[in-house]
Amino acid sequence: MTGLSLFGILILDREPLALQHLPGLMQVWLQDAGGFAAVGLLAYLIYTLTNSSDTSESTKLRMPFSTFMLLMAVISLICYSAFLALFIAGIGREEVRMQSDVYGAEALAYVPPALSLKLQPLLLSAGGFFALLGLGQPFVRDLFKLRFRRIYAIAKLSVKEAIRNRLFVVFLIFMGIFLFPVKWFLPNNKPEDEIRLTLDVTAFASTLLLLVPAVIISAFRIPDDIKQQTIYTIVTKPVERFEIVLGRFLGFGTLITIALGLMTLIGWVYITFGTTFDPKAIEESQRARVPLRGKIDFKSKKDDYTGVNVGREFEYRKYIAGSPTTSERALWKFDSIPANLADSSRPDVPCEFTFDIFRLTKGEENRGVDINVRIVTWQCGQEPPPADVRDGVWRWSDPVKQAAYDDKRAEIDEKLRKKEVGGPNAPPSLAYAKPETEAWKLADQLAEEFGFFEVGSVEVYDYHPATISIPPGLFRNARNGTPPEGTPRVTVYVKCLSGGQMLGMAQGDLYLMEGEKSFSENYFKNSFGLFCRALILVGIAVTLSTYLSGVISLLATLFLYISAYFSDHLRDVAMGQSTGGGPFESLTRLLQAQQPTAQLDQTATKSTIDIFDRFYQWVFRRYENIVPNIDAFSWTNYLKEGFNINAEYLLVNAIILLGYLLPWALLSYYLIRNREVAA
Amino acid sequence: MAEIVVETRSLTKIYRDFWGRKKKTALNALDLTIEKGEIFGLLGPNGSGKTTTIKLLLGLLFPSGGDAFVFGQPAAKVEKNEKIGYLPEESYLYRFLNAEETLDFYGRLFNIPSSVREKRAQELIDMVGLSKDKKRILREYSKGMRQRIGLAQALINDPDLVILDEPTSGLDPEGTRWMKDLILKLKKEGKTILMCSHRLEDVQDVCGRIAILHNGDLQELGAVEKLVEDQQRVQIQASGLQLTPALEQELRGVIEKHGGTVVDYGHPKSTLEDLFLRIIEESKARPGRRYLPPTEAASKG
Repeated sequence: MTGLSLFGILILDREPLALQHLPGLMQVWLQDAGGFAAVGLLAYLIYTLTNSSDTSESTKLRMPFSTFMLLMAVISLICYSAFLALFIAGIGREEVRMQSDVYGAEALAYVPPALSLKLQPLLLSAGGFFALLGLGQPFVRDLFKLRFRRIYAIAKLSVKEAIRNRLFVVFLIFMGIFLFPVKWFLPNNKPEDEIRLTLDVTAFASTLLLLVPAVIISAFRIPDDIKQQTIYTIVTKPVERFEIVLGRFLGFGTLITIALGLMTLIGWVYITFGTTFDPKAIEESQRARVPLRGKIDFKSKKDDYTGVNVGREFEYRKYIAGSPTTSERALWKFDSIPANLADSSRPDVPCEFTFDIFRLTKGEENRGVDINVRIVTWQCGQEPPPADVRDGVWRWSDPVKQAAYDDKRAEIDEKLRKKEVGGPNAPPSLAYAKPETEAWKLADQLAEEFGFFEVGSVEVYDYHPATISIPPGLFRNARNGTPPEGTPRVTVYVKCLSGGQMLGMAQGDLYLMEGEKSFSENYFKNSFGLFCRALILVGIAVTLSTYLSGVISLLATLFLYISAYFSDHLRDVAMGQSTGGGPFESLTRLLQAQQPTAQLDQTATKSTIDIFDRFYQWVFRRYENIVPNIDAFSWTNYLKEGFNINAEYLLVNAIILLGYLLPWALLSYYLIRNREVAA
Repeated sequence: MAEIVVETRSLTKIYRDFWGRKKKTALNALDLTIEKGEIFGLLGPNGSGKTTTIKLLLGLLFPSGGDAFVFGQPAAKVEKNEKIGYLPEESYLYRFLNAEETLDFYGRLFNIPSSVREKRAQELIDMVGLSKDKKRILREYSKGMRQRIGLAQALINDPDLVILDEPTSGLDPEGTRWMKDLILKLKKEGKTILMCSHRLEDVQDVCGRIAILHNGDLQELGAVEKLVEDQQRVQIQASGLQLTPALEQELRGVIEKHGGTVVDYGHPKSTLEDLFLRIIEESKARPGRRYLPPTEAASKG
């Protein structure tokens, strides 16, 4: 019932952003973008109000001021003041959600935001919302003046420029280099890893080839137009200045689409029809699993058991101790079961898993670790053994039902042994039944009747994926009726049987196979993430270039984008979680030759340093707010490990992209409006 | 009263450094009006504020004080550009486009429908004499050709106000004459023209009124004819006469009798431009033959 597969080792140390996260994301967006908008609106209003007496008609047109803007600013200010009052009083505060709160690990990593109905976050969101309304009013009003023909003309100009300046030719030449077989450059790899490596190399090449030219042309085009004064002949036409920004953005977006489309198509042809690949690699790599993921939990007969930390630096996984008599279990809870899992026409439902083995003893040579997997539905409740019982066996909540199951199972096993059922090739017991056999049908019926299925022993290797088959009947049982509140429909219990071994598991390590989709489709979906990242880069670069010179825009964009690759570290610094404290505390430690982990005395100097560090953290948190979440757009791991990229994730990607670019668009609108394009 | 097309009210432009400190007053409280159908010239040495005035009118620069109106609308209003055609000092066009693409691009910016755009572009290309070179990219054009296509882009929207910054810059005498003739033709079509130029003879040839600026201050404003008229001297021109000593003596006598003094006496001088153009025209009419002055040509029959 088990089989080894080489792929499927996807590290999901952060949950992909899905539609369910949208309310939380929206709230955070209102707080972040709205916070910046509030500062902008306040500064803008102060400027316009202090200069209103002697401004000309032209200035009034350029820097419009309305009662609506003032009203929104006042409401926003009231919200922020109320927030400040509550903050000082310590009322209605939302605690910062740590990774540990969600996944049980101690790391402070990215946690998808959740909608909070506490007063403080609500007030912050409201303040941001009204500030955005106020600052966005002239922007929205002017949107109606935009004409597609003009935007299209500028976009087309950008495309022509790139083509006629031979940027595309250079791009194609470089792209060709990366399409040579990977094994020419990295010859000492396993044949079955070839496609995975190729995908890695092409993803790296595509990122480099796409993002570098994209950021360069985006950062330099508008400043060059100003420098070469070609912009004179554009702004003296009836062109809204924001149309220039939008036209350039769309032009570069079109270029990116063409370039990425070309790269993806060539890459796809190469991967799909490449004759130089090892057949094993083709057979194993070109997949797009659709996993059904559950929520992980750790249980034992001890109430406060939450899994064991073995001291590994990467705290992604928690461990359970191995022993035939251990009551420690890792649980995966599945709250909903799709109908196709219960489909009687499908032979089985594969359950795949990849675990980490932490060996306390050397163990048996050339052998893995044995585990037991029990899959139960909500109709077959399980309880840990009583505290005084040391057999480690989890019991059914209903002993009568368990007895009935045991009797029926024994009866079937007996019939199988005597070959009364299951045909001439019947296995000696249900434990050996394989899908699409007579015996498997009996296992399916039993699972449907009792909502219970167990694989007594499966051998697993360190980071080596394994699969077991589950009868679909179990899922029909799970879908039958409504479970009590808080009870998952299906729970998978994993126990480590090998003594002296620890089994490490994380939420993404076990999943049910809902089905498989087309690899080709997955390949093209993967490109969407890169497309979004390129547009982010173009958006930032174009916005900055409306005010800064080309070189400065380029450097600022790259700085912002590259710092996104260090988002975890940024978050640590912003939240004051970095070892050794903030920059001022670290400097003090350096000067005093103190260890980063040593406790500092609470002196007046330390208190002063803390104040500076807290201010620095605040500044850093604001910086973190503008750093794009590029991890949310990275799907290459899904592709190369053979997992389907959900269309839902891509939809959320598109929404996040829009949400990220909107404040930049607003900024560019104000910057270019108020920029003198002539010297 | 004629319709006012351009109006500036105490228009001031002060350039400041990063810290807001005053660097230079480029234009100081300029008040002027330009009426519909006139050719108005802005004159002045380098740095006098001519181009700054134009840039302020077009919204390329923002005023530090005062205001500017075009067709009664503030200079910052984009809609006013619908009726303006602008030819910058240098022809700042996209050099990777050809003439047709250039006009198509600017036509789109005016939201002109495709069929009208194509027709208008073709007419303008013919008008500026670039029909044979319309498929060549502008990078390959000479300065004069770029100035011609620049003018075509300025006229793509059939503007009511044409603003020309140094329109004859980089043009040969033939091109200069062509440009001046075109400016006069545009005036006949009822368009208003505002131009600035260093070449005073060009301004004098075409402009009805001028403003002379120096160091950002308006020094003189009025009709060219009035401004250049010398009330202290009288000029008499006659044809069909030979310059003989008897004629000279007689004329001096008459002038002195009326209390005047003869300052100059002789044949009037043609301009070098006229001479040059005559030679070129002749050369075109009779290729390979050397130019003969009219007197010699007449004597040779």
